[in-house]
Amino acid sequence: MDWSYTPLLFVLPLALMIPIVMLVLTNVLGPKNPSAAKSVPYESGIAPPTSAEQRFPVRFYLVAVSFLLFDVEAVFLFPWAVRFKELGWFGFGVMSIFLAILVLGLVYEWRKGGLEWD
Amino acid sequence: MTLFGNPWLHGFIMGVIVLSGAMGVAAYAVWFERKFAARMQNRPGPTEVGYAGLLQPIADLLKLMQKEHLVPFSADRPLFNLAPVLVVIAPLATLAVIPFGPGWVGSDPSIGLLFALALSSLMVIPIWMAGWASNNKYALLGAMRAAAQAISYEIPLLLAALVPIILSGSFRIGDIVAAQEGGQWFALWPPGPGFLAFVLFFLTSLAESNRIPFDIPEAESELVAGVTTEYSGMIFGLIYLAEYLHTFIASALAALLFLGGWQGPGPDGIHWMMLKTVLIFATIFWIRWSWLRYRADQLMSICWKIFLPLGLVLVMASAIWVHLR
Amino acid sequence: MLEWIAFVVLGATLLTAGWKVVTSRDLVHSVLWLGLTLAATAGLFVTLHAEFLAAVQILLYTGGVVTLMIFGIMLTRRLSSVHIEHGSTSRARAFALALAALALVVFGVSEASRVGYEVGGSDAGSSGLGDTQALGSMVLRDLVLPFEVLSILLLAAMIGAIVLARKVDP
Repeated sequence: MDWSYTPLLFVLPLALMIPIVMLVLTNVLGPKNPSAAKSVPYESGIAPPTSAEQRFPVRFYLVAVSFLLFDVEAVFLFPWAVRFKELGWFGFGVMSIFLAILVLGLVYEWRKGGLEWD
Repeated sequence: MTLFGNPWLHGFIMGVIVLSGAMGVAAYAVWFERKFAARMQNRPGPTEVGYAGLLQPIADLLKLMQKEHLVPFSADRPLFNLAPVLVVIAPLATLAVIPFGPGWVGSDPSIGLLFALALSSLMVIPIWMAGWASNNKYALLGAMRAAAQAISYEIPLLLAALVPIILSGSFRIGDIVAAQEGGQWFALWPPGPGFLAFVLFFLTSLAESNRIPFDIPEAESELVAGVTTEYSGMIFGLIYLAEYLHTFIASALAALLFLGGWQGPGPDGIHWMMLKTVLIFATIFWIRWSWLRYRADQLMSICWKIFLPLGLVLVMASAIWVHLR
Repeated sequence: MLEWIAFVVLGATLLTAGWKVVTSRDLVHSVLWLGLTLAATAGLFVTLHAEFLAAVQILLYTGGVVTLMIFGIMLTRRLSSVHIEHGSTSRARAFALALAALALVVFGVSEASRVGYEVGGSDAGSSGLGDTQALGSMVLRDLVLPFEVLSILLLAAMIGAIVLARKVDP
């Protein structure tokens, strides 16, 4: 039995309870006077002229793709980081090539203006 | 590494300590920031409730509790209410693996640091959820910006955190602190990469917890209040609480990874850890009240064109340093 | 006992969330349920003493892939104030596909246990760091070529995304 996770078994339910208790308390203690004006979405006092739904630019998606690729790279760095003394310069070289290829992708993205947030 | 013999007892007591401590810390962080900001601007700050306004956080909590729980009619009601709950859980669970002194830790699993980083990166989903469920233009814009910023800065943050892992050869936060024994703090030693990694970690943490100068997701001059536009009362308080907890965790991690954690001149212990954490915390507020925010495009350029290459160079440099030693 | 309880709770969460992924009418709800599914999978990895995998699962899938999907939904065109809904109605085909996937998983697991494939030895769970280190050795010593090819794959993905997403060349 691995005991290092027992505190988490207590923390997670307690952590779930704290916000729920707070929300329940505010519903018990707070006033309840709903009105049409109160529940209109905020738009500086007027009724919102358009829906909040809109199309977002593709650059958000591009950021997410770049993030995912570099996240994969970072995830591979972690096992290397705790083992690289044993892997020696060979492991270092392998990792350098891996990183260099990814940096190539970053340079390409940079040159193509994929990093510009205009 | 347990203070109390029985693991169940240890788990329970540490869990309660961690959570009550977290609530206390968050409440007084707000008081501290208000006092700090006030003094920087030559005004007294809270003074009315208790000595030097020390009871102000409790008064604020009671006030928030008595506010109406408002949900806009166009909002996605279940998600709108669920999001703040989830936002709070992630940092609270992270605190369970952060050691504050020898033995003063909920759990110190072998994967501790990675666990803390993964959990705190998870905040992006409930924050986005809050913005989307509000069904408000400003909230949705803020949510998209927050998500894009959080994931962008995640990469340099991971790279900066890799430097202490490489230098100590372990993910266990306790081991990383132990590797800095004898004043060999990673921020000072190795002189180049260590210090730069500390700076990088600090700045990316600022961006991850949406602090000035990286607070464009809630830029009040263009987005009203960003994600929290439609939130009020206690349910707003929860998001606010989570942000302070997130900043506190970032400060604690910076102290543990780069400033030797609970080690210091004289006797080691939880007091050193608290002192370092509070100093980093205060620096964050100091920056907040003296800097201007970056534009959205500058934010992305800084991350991808400066921080990411810098992080890669630092990782490689520290690896070479360990190899040569 | 404890592990059994954890398995049941996580498994139930996983199945419920997975069911909601395919039955939710709103696409955003589906993606958020998928996030819960992936998080519960990470929990299962912890009970199997694969802590590194669990952290990676949260970092990459719950954090990354879900955000990617969200951004994907947000950039598609939609009718004003109408949430995007699933258009899929063919239950029979879905059922057949699910069966095929199940068969694949069962085959994979039985094959793995027949070959006796094991990483990090049986004591990997006790030290925790053992499996991460074994992973590091495996990737960087025994599987060097696949590892480098992987970086080319990632490069291709990035270039592909840029080519698809960039504005028309001036």
